[in-house]
Amino acid sequence: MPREEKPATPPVPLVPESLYAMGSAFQADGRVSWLPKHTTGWQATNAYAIVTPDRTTLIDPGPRYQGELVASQLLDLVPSDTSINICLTRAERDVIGAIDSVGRSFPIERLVAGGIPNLFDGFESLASVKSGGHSGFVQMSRMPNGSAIPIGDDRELIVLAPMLRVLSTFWFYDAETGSLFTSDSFDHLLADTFEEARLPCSEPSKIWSDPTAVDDHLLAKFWWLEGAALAPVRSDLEKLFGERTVNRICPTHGRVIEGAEHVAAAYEAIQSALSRLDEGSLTRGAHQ
Amino acid sequence: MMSDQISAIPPRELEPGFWWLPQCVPTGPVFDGVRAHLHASQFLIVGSDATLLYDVGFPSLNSDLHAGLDQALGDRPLDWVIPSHPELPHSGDLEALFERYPNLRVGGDVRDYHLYLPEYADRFHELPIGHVIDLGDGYSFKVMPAVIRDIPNTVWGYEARTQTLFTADGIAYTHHPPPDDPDDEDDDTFHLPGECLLTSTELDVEPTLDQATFVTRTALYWTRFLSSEPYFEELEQILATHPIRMMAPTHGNIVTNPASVLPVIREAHRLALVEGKSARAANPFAKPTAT
Repeated sequence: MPREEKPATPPVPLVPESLYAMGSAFQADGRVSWLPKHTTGWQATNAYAIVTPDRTTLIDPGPRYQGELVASQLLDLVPSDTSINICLTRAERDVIGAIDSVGRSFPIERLVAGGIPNLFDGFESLASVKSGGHSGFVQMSRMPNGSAIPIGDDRELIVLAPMLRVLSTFWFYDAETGSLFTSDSFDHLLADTFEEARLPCSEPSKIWSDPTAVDDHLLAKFWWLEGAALAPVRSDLEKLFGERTVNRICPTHGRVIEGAEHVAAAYEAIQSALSRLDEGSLTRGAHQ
Repeated sequence: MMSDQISAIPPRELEPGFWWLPQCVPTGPVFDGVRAHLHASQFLIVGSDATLLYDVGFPSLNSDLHAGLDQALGDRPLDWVIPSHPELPHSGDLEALFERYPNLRVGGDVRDYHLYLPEYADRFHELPIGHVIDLGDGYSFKVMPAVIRDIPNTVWGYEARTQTLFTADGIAYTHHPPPDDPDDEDDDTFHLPGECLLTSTELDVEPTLDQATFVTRTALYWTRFLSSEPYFEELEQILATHPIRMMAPTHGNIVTNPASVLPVIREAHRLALVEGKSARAANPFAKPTAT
């Protein structure tokens, strides 16, 4: 077991009987590329479970170091013969690494990602995952931007294609709970302890009022933003949040941002960062 | 008709001890009436003291890679792998390689891998930019900054004996496929068999601008929003102190005439930005369709 992994922790109910945050957390020490090198504290690596009477959906199982943990957390929620749909926001290893562990414990009904089959983005290569202890191909379904993924009980996940990204990335929106699954965006919130990192943040965070911290964090992954023509990215973000009610932001890493007020603070902070980083207002190199 | 099957290609020894292990896959778009191919190439250096592989390619093609390694290495082990970056098509086969080569070490910018492959965490070695691995026979591998990249922990490399710059996703372009049936005059392909294994100077035509622009726009999403000119200027500075005879992209044929090809790639980056701005001007809410 890597030292980053803590003993099993139960799923955290974000919406009781409906939406759970699972996964682990690691201690930032400069060895993770999506965080600024000087970052300290614990960052959650999240997998989300949506449980309805009809279907169980897992969003982003997470990196492999938490694979067994996520599988055991899912067993806390549903029996091992439950067919699982896995929805993926990206095909990167911090999202897909735990699929095999889940597949060893549960039958995987299908893998779902946004977009269309594409040689470049790596999603199709995931279809050889083992499922329910059996070797074999699991169907990979690609869903175009704006389409709806049935998740049971008349609920749907809406596929969104954000312009704020590096590699091929999709967000999901669950209107029933007002949850926006933002992949590698909005992952700014770390904690002093493992236990705190696993809990949603439903209080004001000081990072949103620290422009340098917001920018540094954003640029650690989205390095290309600095000096880019960002007006369309800002408009896109405005649309993504403006067209739907968002009660919580569920990122792949970092604490869940809980509550419309705190969602608004995070959104405004990222919009302000994009404005600062835009080609019209920044001299390249200011952050290098 | 072109097959959608992935082509198996034997390795090619470009110079004694310096191997190109290309994997090649058909792409979606059609250029000049022909569906293009795209490389996912690996490069192997077999020195007297150590062996090193740059990048590991598509996990679904690892049987081809392993066969190529067996042919090129003989009874030698693989000592080093430098994955260009952790994206699955570039690092997906690491686990299998760890099992095949018990003493294999993986170096470069290896951030994140302790979370991705925790059972092999002690096999990863952070090598700073400028670090040189001496492989023997005059071969070496120098860890270089990834001037043109996608995800942050990308590394390029430089081999001094062959004067080769390994460029990961940078300097990328497609090429035309070999015909399905070389004897079929009606085949809709018109390029030589074995084009997947040819260097840029051995191809009938140099990389075309539309092929380079397609890969640039598709593989490097950010080029639609950000000028690459400062990065090409940085590349010029690197080349001033690191003379090159070859550029070895993971997506593209080996470039043996960099002075001719680099301007095409540079123009492709400029066009990707121009096209991105034009598309947004025409429809501000249009979503980029490729990756």
